[in-house]
Amino acid sequence: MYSPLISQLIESLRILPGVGPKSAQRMALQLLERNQAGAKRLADALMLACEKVGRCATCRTLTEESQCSLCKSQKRDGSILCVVEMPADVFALEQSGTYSGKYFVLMGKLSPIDGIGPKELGLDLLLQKMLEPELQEIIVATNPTMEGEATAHYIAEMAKRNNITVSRIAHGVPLGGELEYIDGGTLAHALASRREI
Amino acid sequence: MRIDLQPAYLLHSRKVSDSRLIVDFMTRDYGLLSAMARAPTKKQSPFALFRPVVISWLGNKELKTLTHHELAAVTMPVLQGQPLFCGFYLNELLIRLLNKGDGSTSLYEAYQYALLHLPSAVSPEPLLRCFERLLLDEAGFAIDWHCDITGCAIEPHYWYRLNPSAGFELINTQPLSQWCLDNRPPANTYEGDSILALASNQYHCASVQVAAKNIMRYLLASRLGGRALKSRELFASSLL
Repeated sequence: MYSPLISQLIESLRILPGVGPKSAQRMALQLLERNQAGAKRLADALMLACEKVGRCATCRTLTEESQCSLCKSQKRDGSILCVVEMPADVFALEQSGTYSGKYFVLMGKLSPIDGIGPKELGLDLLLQKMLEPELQEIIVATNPTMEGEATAHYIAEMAKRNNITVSRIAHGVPLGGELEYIDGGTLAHALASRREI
Repeated sequence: MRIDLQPAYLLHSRKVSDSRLIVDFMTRDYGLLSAMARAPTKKQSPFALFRPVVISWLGNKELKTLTHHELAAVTMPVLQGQPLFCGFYLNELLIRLLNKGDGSTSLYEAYQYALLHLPSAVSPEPLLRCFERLLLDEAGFAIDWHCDITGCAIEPHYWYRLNPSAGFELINTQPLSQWCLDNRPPANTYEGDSILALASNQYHCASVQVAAKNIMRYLLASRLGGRALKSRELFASSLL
C-alpha cells in the first residue's frame, strides 16, 4: 500500500518495544506529514548515539565517554558499590536521591539456560574492583527474581572471599500496599527481613 | 486439545514481545511443555521458578497456548544459595535432555522431591545423582548398571571402563595395586562396587560419590553433544 521507503520506515519503527503495525504507521505518517524537521533530528540523534555510545570502562553502563559521569564524579563515595542489572536501574536508584556511592552494571543476570554465566556478566571486572583497597561495601540491587537471587548469591560469595561487607536491598510489602493482596512468597520475604522499630 | 489445571513447575521463560512470553514447564502428566503465554498483569502472580503451579493450555502443536496459570496451594521451601544453583542445574538438564512431551510422572515427582529436600540436605550430591540417573533413563539413554556389555553380572572387585553408548566393559579382574603401578585407576575406569552402589542409588561412601559424579559427568557430556552445561559455572567448588 505504501511506497517502499515508507514501508521500510514503518517496519523499522516496529523494533521499538510496544510498537505494533498500527502504532508504527501512525508514527511514520506523523514524522513525514507533520514534523520532517523533528524526523531529521531523530535520525541524526539515532545515528550519533549508535556510533558513539558504548560501555563505561569502570561500571559498564551505557555512555559515549570512556568513563561515565557517575564514575568520574569526585563527590561520589568510592567505598560503596551498588551492583544492578541494567542501566535503567541506575537511573531508578539515582531518582531515589538517597544513594551517593558508585555503581556496577551487570547488563543482565545469571541465567544458565540462556547461556548467561558469570563470564558473560563481566564478573571478572567486578572481581578486579573488589581488589581495590578503597572499596568497603557492596550493595546487591538485582531484581527479586530467582535469577536475580542467584546472581546476588554469587556476588555475595565473591565479596565474602575478598573480605568485603555485602548487603542485599530489602524486598517485601510495597509502600501503600495492602497485605491481603500480597502473595505468600512476598509476605514470607517481608517477615524474614523484618526490622526493629 | 484442552488440558485444565495440570500441576507443573516452570523451568524457563523468555520474552518474545512486551506482552508475550514463551514458557517451558515440567508438567506432572504431560512431560516437558512449551507454551506461548501472555505476560502476567500486576494482579496476576508472576511466572516464578521452583514454585508449584497449576496450568491450563490449549493446542495440538508443539507450542501450546497457555490459558491459565496460578500458584498451587502447596508450600515449598525457598531455594537460596547453593541449593538455588542446584535448582538451575536441574532445570538446565531437563531442558537440554528432554524433547517436548518427554518425561513421566515419576520424573516430575523426582524433580519435586529434589526441590523439597535440597535446602535441608547436608550434601546435595545424592539428590542430584538420583535425579540425573532417572533423567538419563527417561531421556532414552539408559545403560545397564548390573551387567557389563557381555551380559555378565558386575562383580564388586573387578574393574570396568565406561562406554557411554554400550555400558560397562570389563578391563581387569585383579586388585588395582597389581595392575596399576601408581595405584590410581586410569581415566573413566571404575571399581564394580561403586557401579553397584550407583545402581541401587546408595551414595553414603565418599569414594562412591566421586565415582558417581565422574560416571554421570561422562554420560551427560556424551549426551549433551559437546556443549557444556552453563549452570556448572555457578559452582565455585567442583560439586557437579
